[in-house]
Amino acid sequence: MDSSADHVRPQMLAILPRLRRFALALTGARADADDLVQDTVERALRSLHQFTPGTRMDSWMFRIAKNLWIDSLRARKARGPMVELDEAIAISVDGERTAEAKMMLTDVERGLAVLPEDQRAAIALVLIDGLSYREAASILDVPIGTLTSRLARGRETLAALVLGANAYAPGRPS
Amino acid sequence: MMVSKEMVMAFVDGELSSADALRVEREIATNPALARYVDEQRALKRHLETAFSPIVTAPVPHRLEATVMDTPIISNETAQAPHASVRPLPFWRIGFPIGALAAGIAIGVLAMNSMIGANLIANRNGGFVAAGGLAQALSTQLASEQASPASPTRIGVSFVNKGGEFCRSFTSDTGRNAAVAGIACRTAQDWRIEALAAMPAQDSRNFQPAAATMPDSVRTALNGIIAGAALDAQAEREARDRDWRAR
Repeated sequence: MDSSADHVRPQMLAILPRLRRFALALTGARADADDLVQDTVERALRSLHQFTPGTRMDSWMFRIAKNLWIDSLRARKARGPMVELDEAIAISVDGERTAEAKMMLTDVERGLAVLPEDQRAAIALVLIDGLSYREAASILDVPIGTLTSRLARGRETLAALVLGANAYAPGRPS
Repeated sequence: MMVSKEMVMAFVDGELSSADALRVEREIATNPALARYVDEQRALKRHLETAFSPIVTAPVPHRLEATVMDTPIISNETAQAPHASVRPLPFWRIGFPIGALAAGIAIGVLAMNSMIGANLIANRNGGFVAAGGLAQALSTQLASEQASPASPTRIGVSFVNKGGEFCRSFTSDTGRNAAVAGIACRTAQDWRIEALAAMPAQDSRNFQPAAATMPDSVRTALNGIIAGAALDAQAEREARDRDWRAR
């Protein structure tokens, strides 16, 4: 009875690198990203009966990751200023390493972090992971039109922050 | 012709039909502002890909691979296992304590689900405690006395653990000829579940003595926590009469 379950694990192992990248784009920190990946894998294996065979397992896991991330953001918001406190402790305990990690953050990562969450997720799926609009919209449970408008807004902000670019005005002569 | 921003974006993302892509390319050739915009958007995409590429090629942490290999699978087959007569609430919906597994407590996932379904255990403060008929049997039933045939729970052995708490092994009928074996230890308020495992399907009217049919994981847990020998009939009765308060 476990034959299908048996090749689920190798499939998941193969998805891990991309799942880590997606989680990093969402959370902005490697440790948080790997915690999210771990929660995602546990949730996926424990609810494998909800997976539709023949559909894409990567998309299913990305969807679980996105939902868990949204849940954790809500919990964090409800909890109030814990984040800042955690950060303050991390800096005081391990100031040097934290500072170093912050320096290694690229402009892109910093730019991504300032985007609203829904735009960040859209950018992560389409621009970073290279998924089609259809796959990305299905992972985010939104119509394609919603996805493309989130992408457009996220892009504008990122381009301005990262490239210092001005917004494109169609049809205007340069 | 004017190309909309959405169309340029779809062009950069490779989402246009070849006919539409061709239209955009023609427009780019004659519109420097558009050409610059497309270049910027491509540069942004490259920036993003580059910034996030190290984590894709980096080795995956061992703990994540271990999670993939070791997390119990709930598949269609297991979710419809015969002893899940009442479809149990998935344990993550009641706050499944991952820590319980990490702490080395032997709790079988299927056993747990069927016990939750039969309302014989409940989640409390991140751990599991006996509930309903199981809690009652643990508190009142003596291993040395013949249990009422109506009781779905049989007590195996009673003993004291290394922390001085009274503990009891048990088997419980969870319906549909399926049974679960486990160990519970008496705290100030509850019977804390220490171990739980599914027993092979059998005729529930035909229980063997609990110790003899104890699954390996439960037996191992018992051997790990027991201090001294099991209580004899008299010591067990005295412990019950003092409401299992730790000595």
